[in-house]
Amino acid sequence: MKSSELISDEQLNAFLDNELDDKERAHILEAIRQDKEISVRFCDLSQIKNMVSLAYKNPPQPKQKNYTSAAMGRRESGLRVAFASLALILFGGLCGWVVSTQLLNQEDSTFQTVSQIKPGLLKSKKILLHINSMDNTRVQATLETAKKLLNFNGSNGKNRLELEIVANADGLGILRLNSPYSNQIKSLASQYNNVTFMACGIAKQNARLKEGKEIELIPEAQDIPAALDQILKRIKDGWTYVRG
Amino acid sequence: MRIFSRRSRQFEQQLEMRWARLYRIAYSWCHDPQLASDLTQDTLTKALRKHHQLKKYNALDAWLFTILNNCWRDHYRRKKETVDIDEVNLSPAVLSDDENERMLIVNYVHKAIEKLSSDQRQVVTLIDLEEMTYNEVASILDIPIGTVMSRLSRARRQLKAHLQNQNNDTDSSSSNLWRVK
Repeated sequence: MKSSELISDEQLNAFLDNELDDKERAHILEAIRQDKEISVRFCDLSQIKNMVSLAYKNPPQPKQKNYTSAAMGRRESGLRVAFASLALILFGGLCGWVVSTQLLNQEDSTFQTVSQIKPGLLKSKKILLHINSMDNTRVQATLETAKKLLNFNGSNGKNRLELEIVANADGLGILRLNSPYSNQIKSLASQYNNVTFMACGIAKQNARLKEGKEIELIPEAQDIPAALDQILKRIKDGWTYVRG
Repeated sequence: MRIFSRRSRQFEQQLEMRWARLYRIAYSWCHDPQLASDLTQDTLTKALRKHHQLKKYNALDAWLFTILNNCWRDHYRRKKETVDIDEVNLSPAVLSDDENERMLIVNYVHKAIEKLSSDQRQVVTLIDLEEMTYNEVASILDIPIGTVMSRLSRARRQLKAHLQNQNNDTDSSSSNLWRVK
């Protein structure tokens, strides 16, 4: 039996939806890393999830609202951006079912966890750190890993690293104005010019809907339409993906 | 201990804050703005009436979505003799004469969602739009977690197939773009 057949769609979905514990997650990550077919299936599922999220970002409103709501009154100012990003994802996404077949052909396109990262052994100079949780252990591990990588490689010279830290779901909290990690992030951003902090637009929208107010981010955070889209784009470009 | 011992303004504000989220999910299930609005209103009205049943504040979201699910089921139960919930022709509300390209793309996804069974549609939207856990969805829809997983799996598989087909049907001229295997 092929290894790709040993990983079910249910397992890949559970991985995508953050339903697995560390051991199971590591198992799936390794399977994605090792098996091109599994990586393609995972990319497909990611694209679907992205598209569904974006397609209902601004549902049409009824002609008559029968319940007063302040939250309802606010229209998304970035409507154009949202639809443009959806177009990009759909266009790229549908193409992506093919493109993604090539993702892991490149040697540097590897999936790792922060605990596996050893700066001295890492060949890739383009790394994306993904954080989707506000679990202190995971956030600290992610920020510590970022610091180690930046320290080891420096901001200049032939070893110059390109590092992106992408936050979505609950992980968006690290980039919010009241984040307990804002000082660490500010410190990294001011010390190194080769690290970028990116905030997922979908997570921001969901937080806005849940809290009924605009979500304010620290100045170091850069808005992106969708974290998963950024991750897939970077993997396609040969970056190393590291799950925080 | 009851969190809201009476129908307080605070409770009403909490419900009001959730209007947009409930509406978005309701819309993703029915694709009819007015029906989605009615379902949302029914949900909030029932929540106000049954506020004493809410035991924990942090269960408010799941409780509201459970009520919304019941309202959605009730809506079609009333029409059971003539309409099957999975055969409902969902109105493509985003289509109009001056439909632009962006709306067309959104409509692609909506159309693909429409082709799912109602059960699958509910699972995939609660997970992808509300970022709910499988356990929360199982509780809201009153189904086992294994059923959540299998419905989600089938839903995403079918969405992929529908979107690929739509892309093929709509623009055969671009087929070279995704034939570069």
